[in-house]
Amino acid sequence: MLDEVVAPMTKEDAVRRLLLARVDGAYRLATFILRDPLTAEDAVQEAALLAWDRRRTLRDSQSADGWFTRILVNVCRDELRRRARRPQLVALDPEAGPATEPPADHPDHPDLSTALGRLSADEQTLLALRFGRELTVPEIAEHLRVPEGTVKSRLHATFQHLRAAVDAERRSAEAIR
Amino acid sequence: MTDDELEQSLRALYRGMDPRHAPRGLSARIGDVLEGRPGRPVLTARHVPAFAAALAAMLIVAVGLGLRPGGFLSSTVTSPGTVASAESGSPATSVSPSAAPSASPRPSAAVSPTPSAAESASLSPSPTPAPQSLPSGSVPPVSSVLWSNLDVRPLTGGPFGVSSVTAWSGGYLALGRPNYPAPLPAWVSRDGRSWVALPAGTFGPVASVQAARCGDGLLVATQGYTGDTTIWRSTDGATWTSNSAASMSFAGYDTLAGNASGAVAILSETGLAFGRNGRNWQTVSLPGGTAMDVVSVAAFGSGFVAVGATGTTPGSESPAAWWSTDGLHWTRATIQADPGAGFIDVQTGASGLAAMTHSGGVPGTSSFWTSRDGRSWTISQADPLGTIGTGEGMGGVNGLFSGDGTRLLGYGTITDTGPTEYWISLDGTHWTKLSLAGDTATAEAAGGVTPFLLRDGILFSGDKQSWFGAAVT
Repeated sequence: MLDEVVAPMTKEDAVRRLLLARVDGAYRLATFILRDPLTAEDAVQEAALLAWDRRRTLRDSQSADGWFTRILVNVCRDELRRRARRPQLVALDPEAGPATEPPADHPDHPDLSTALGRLSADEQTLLALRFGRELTVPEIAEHLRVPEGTVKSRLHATFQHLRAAVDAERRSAEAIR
Repeated sequence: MTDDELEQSLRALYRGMDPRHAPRGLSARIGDVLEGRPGRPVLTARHVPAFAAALAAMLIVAVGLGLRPGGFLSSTVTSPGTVASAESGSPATSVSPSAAPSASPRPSAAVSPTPSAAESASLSPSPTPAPQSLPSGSVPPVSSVLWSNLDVRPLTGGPFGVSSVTAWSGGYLALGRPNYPAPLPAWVSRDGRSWVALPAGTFGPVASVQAARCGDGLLVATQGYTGDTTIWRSTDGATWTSNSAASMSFAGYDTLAGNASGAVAILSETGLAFGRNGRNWQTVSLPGGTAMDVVSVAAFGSGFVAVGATGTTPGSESPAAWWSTDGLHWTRATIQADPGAGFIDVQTGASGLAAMTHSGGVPGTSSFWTSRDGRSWTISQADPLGTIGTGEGMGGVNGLFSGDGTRLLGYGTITDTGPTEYWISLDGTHWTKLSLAGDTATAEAAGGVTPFLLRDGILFSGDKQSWFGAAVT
């Protein structure tokens, strides 16, 4: 139990330390999932506060990583869902470029970042965990509390969806040209 | 782009955005807030405009509702027509599906052969309002005649953005993609050409959904974001009865399959469960020990097949499969040795099955498997779209596969610039490339169009337009 691991401190002190020690990692993960630093910052704050509110659900310090990651991932997924429902700002003057700053992109595959945005919140989260945070399938399974086989099948389906989304982005770009 | 290239591009994309550290001051701000021990999260500056906008929108809606005829701000006398409409079964007077208990906490108890107390309490019928008119047309007979051509024609009025199509004796049910908190869109059709949308909110907002035939009817299993599961049953596709199934937590996608005998579900806590009518479920045990992971299930004739892996750590996995003639009693299938791999998907045709494995948890590494009867499986080179990707740890089956118990469909592109190819098979081993005629250019240009096997053709569903490809034999 947490009380036994960090006996000199109160449980609340220990939870506060656990959360603060994970801010860097949490911010990196939130940035990978949300692909926007400002939103990521808000997500980490929101997750930390939620975790604080739910601190009684943390059984021991050994499981703190997975516990806080799950809370953060859920906050990020909610933000992605909100983002999907939010109207996109479109520049009225096509010469003026996009109304909002697009996420950083890969020079060889300029459609990739836009294509990622076409995926579901769960799919974007899964790719960020696997290829952003470089978590293994068992680690993702542990963090998301789903069977490893489920992670694999979701990764497989997500790759197919991403490929289709990249194709669709390319077709759209060609149609505009 | 191969899976290998896609993976490398993703890694490069994420590397490019890696901040390494949190912005200066973030830890301090969080620490300050925690020190103050707030009971609730605070609105950040970025959230305030959104909150204000939401509040304004609520006010506008409230005022709008109040000003509508009969509204609480209206002085207009309610017209007799409005009353007649309400009395004749409009959504305003019907029992809404959302009235069924659905947010009960997930219990740890296993699924019992008889309804639990919680389920019994929630079994009060909650029929949904029926669509204004059922679709016209007749249900095509099931036929295993091999197709060679499709005549593709656009459909009017949907269905759009379809995530699954389930066939039953009354026709087809198409479900849209969950888009919480919007209600799940759904359509029914008798012939696959003429579709009628179910009333908005029939299934409510959901996080995930699966559907299957079950006996003479249909099952739809919905799961909300709080983990609450609801099972919906219907025999005509129009009127649905729901009951909360709090003890049923589905273990991912493709984890519900059914046929005339009943339905099989893969559940997170208890493994496989079989239900003859979709209302009462009983857990079933699979031979092979406890270190098993079942990931996909499908109906095959009057029986079922399930696939997954044994071994729980990467590298120690081995593909495993099981078959059953009744959904209750299962036998382990004979599998060609493939250390380090596990099945991820199984699809069925009339005279054979196809499945795929992934190796060592590495995305992009997969093998194509076939079986005549689900009782023995071998790695096959019959994948009609070939293998993509090369190099260590890479290489795998190209294309996507689906099956409806009669036909198997493989589709995808062989080259980056080539058109989508569609291949059809009855057994997973012998494949025929379909020739498409008609409105194919629009469908291809739409991008992201997903094909769904129907009894006499293929439904091509895009986000804003759909097509029906009638099979020409």
